[in-house]
Amino acid sequence: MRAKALLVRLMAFALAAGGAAPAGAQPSDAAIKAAFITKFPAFVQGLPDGAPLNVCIVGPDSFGSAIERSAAVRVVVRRLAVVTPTSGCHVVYATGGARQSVRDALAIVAGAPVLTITDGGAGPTRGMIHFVVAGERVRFHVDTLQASRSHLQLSSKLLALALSVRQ
Amino acid sequence: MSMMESEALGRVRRTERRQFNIVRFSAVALLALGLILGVLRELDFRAQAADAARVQADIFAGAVSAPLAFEDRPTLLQNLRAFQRDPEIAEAIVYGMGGEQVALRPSSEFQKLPLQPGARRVQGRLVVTRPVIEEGVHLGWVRLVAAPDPLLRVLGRYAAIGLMTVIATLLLWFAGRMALRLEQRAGQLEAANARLQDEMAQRARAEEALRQSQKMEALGQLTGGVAHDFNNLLTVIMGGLETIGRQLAKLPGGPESARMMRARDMALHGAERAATLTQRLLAFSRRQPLQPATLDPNKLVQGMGDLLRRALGETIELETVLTGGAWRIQADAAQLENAILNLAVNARDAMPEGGRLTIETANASLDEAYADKVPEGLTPGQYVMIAVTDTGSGMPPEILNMVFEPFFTTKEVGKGTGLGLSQVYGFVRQSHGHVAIYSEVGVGTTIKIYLPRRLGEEALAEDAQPINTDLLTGDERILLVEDHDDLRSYSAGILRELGYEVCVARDGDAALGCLDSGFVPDLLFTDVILPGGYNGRQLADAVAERKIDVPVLFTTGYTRNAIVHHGRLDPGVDLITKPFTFEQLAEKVRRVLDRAAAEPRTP
Ligand SMILES: Nc1ncnc2c1ncn2[C@@H]1O[C@H](COP(=O)(O)OP(=O)(O)OP(=O)(O)O)[C@@H](O)[C@H]1O
Ligand SMILES: [Mg+2]
Repeated sequence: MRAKALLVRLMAFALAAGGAAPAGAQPSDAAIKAAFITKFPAFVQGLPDGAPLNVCIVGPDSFGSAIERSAAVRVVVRRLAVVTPTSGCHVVYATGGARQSVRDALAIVAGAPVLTITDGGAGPTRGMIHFVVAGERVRFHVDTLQASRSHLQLSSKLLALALSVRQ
Repeated sequence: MSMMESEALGRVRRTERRQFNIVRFSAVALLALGLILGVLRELDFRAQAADAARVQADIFAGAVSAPLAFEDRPTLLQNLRAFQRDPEIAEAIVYGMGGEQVALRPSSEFQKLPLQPGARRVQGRLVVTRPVIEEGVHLGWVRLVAAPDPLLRVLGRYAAIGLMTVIATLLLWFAGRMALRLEQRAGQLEAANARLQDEMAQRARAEEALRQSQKMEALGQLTGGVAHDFNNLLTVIMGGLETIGRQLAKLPGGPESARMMRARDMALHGAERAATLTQRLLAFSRRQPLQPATLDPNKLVQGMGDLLRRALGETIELETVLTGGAWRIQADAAQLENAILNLAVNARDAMPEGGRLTIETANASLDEAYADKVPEGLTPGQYVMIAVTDTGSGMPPEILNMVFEPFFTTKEVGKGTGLGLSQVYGFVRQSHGHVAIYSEVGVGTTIKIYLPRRLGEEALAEDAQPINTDLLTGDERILLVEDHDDLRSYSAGILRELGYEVCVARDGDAALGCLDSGFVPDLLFTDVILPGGYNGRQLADAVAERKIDVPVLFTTGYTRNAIVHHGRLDPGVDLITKPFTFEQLAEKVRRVLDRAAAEPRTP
């Protein structure tokens, strides 16, 4: 019993000690999302090999340079109004612009090995990964059905973190 | 034999040493092997432990990669805890890309270590750091710190080597002890061997000495027998020559008789020399009748001064060192003088260029240890030593053993008889003494005579009163017993010429026949050794039994035990030794008769 109590206290301490972000201020949801976007491919199999990672933002861009700054890998961010099958994107982050809705954008790349990411803030249409903010934390839903249609496999580690998994 | 033995011993020791060295070498090798094996085992163990930890760290990295990447702290902590539940892991730490860390423990030194992939030991603890990588994307770091090895496992790990070390040490210790004991035993063996060889050498020396003394004994028997016969003959020869002389003196003088007188003198001189030699032979064989008396050795040596100086000549210095309070001795004075003179003459012969002769007297106690080393036997006790030392040529050791043998001489034929030291030896032995000889070539020689101390207070022997030679005649009756026909008639002739009335007998029975026939003697003059039932002593007793109180004069060439106890005359017994001259016999007979008349014996 005592050991357990100790463990709880240690945990609290670790959370307090390790929880502090290096920058000092709490990073914004956008920055967190930007960082996540470059990390998702590491948990996905089936994406064509090749560096740098092409991240296409289809629709309005709220990140600015956050993606480039927080990227875990070498990354090229392309901001497109319209995505086509030949855009050469590894990751498509669809926010739904005037020229191409989220749904259209996803339909264009469906079946191709492209990881699609959507945001709950931009509408209900979900890609393979769908950001939401729950309990002041950025979290995500996962749709393995869409992924397998595009011949992508999402890592179980990723599924373990997801709020929900559609399969 | 002893060489072979010590060689064999040496071989045994060498083998033992070699065997011991093998044992010692094995023990050291075992120890070294144990150490090497232990070190190898430990290295192997560490490598394995490091590998295992690396694998675990990789698993850990895989487990935390997603929560780390997507900052899912609850999941991350859950995983962390799951790993930390492993008892072999003391700390599990996760680092983000920026180095920010997540751990369950308050920060320890292990958290601050630089982030380098690999396994290493810090303070005896295995610390493994691994990158967190997913599909080539570096997401952060994980670090596992192994729990310290439980004591039991450490013991288990070191037990074998420990046991080996203990065994090897024990082995070394045993081997050392064994070697020590072997060494000791070898030492004892060697000592025993040395003792044995010593004893063997000693025994060999003792045997050699015994052989020598046995040889001397045998020589004594031989020479004694010959000398005895010669003595009888010489007595007759000398008697005859003396009679010739006396008869010649009665003849009117003239060149003819003068020439005959010279021839007689020469013959007599030769006979006398022959008599001296036979005396020496008898002395050597210890059959010379001695007349021991109580003597002061200092006085005796002093009394010889003139004689010695004359014998030594002018080139030799004579020194006497006489101890104060010298004990008295019991010995035949004439023979002792004879012995000292013989030694002095030898010394003179050894110093042809001159030198110094030292005669020394001293009291000496010969203990058992000394007496035991004298093979011919010696009673431990008090002795007086008379030492004669010269600064002459000395003798090599190989002849020291032989000088006492009769006829051993290194002098030219005709110069030395080889009987001088024989007389000394025989006389001293017969007097229950001991002779020791020390000599070194080119340095000199010391001969020491030891004669037993005389205890008791009787007066020193008086010098005999000179007797008027004109008054040697008499008319008393003498019973003469002698088995040697010539000698009997020679002695009877002398006695009758002197005026005595003589009844002659050739043995004891005949002598008793004389008494039976009514002859009442005033003196019994008898040979000691007689054929038939009586010897001289027994005859004297037989006469005494017949209530005839008569003094006895014994004569002998040599004696066994009849009247001489161990070669020495009983006190109060008179003796004249063969060969004797007319005058000697006349004087002795007169002296015995006169004394008997002066102090009549009580039966
Ligand atoms: N004092 C001495 N120094 C050196 N040699 C000696 C001495 N006394 C005796 N010897 C040796 O011992 C030998 C034997 O001596 P010993 O007296 O028995 O006979 P000798 O002297 O040769 O003959 P003799 O005594 O009849 O003249 C001598 O020939 C001599 O070699
Ligand atoms: Mg001599």
